[in-house]
Amino acid sequence: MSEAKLVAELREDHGKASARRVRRAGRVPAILYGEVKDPLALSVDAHALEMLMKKTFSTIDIEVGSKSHQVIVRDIQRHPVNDSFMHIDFMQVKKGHKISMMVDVRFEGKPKGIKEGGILDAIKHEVEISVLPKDIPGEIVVNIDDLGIGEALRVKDIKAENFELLDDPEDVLVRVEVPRIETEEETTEEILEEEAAEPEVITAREKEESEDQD
Amino acid sequence: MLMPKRVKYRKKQRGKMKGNAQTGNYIAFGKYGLKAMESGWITSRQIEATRIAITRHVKRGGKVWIRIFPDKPVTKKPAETRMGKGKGSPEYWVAVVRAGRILFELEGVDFNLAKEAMRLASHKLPIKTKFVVKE
Repeated sequence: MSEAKLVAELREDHGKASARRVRRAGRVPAILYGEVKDPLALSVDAHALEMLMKKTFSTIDIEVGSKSHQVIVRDIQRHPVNDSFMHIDFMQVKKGHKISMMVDVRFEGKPKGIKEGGILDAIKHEVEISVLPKDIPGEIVVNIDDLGIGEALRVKDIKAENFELLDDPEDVLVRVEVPRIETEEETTEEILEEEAAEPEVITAREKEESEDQD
Repeated sequence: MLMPKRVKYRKKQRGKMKGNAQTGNYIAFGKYGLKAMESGWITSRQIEATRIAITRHVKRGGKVWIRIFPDKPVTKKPAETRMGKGKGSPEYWVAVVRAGRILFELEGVDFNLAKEAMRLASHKLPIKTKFVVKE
């Protein structure tokens, strides 16, 4: 996996008013922590960050002034409506030091259980691994062609290359469920039944009880 | 249709829908989602119609999650009634949705099928929505 580059500027002001000013100027507030003594408040160019996040990379070389830091992206905060970057956390890593991080799992292929009418249910979309910075995988690809109905693929089934899996080996990643057949008649009956019913009112019951006691 | 099993009070005030969704604004279970781009009330009938639209299009192989629940009763006065004499009786249930909320999630189908299912689903809702994919 390749290394990416990003230029950052030090941010002197803190707080939401300052962060909003930074965002208005087309930049994204960020923080750098990890091996550095004190966390550094930074800002990065929003467009450069957007372009960078479209690529796959293991680590980022982030330039702050004259210094350069090797970092990984630890957390991203996005706007709930327009998905723009609100804030980003960078964690500095050291060569030769293992780090633990979450990595996406991508399921490849079409399980035979699906062809037989099963429903694919992916339970875990990411796993925690311990890895050297140079070996960070962009994603872990797992083949699920052989999964039949009622069968599941577990964490222990992942072939770990250059990394160590930290999640419970028995945790289910993906399974093919037995289909639940829902008929049209059942649903309409259910609707009619439920429409007639009204929920129980807790305060009304309490009132009745107190009246009975009197 | 969805509605609470028991409630503390039968009637509620209307309330306001200020700002964006602070909770439920990311895809938590599936791979694809339908995100609300504006705020509004979504009735239990609309939720049910949307769910049916998705499941019918996906047919089999997919799994659907409903991420909203109609827990707010809406009251209505009977027709041709004079004003006053108190608040009307509960008529239907709504979910209060703010912009950014993930309404439905889908898993176990390919991209094009999921996108088309969500497009059909969006026509059953009273607000603008967007098809989103988990990162």
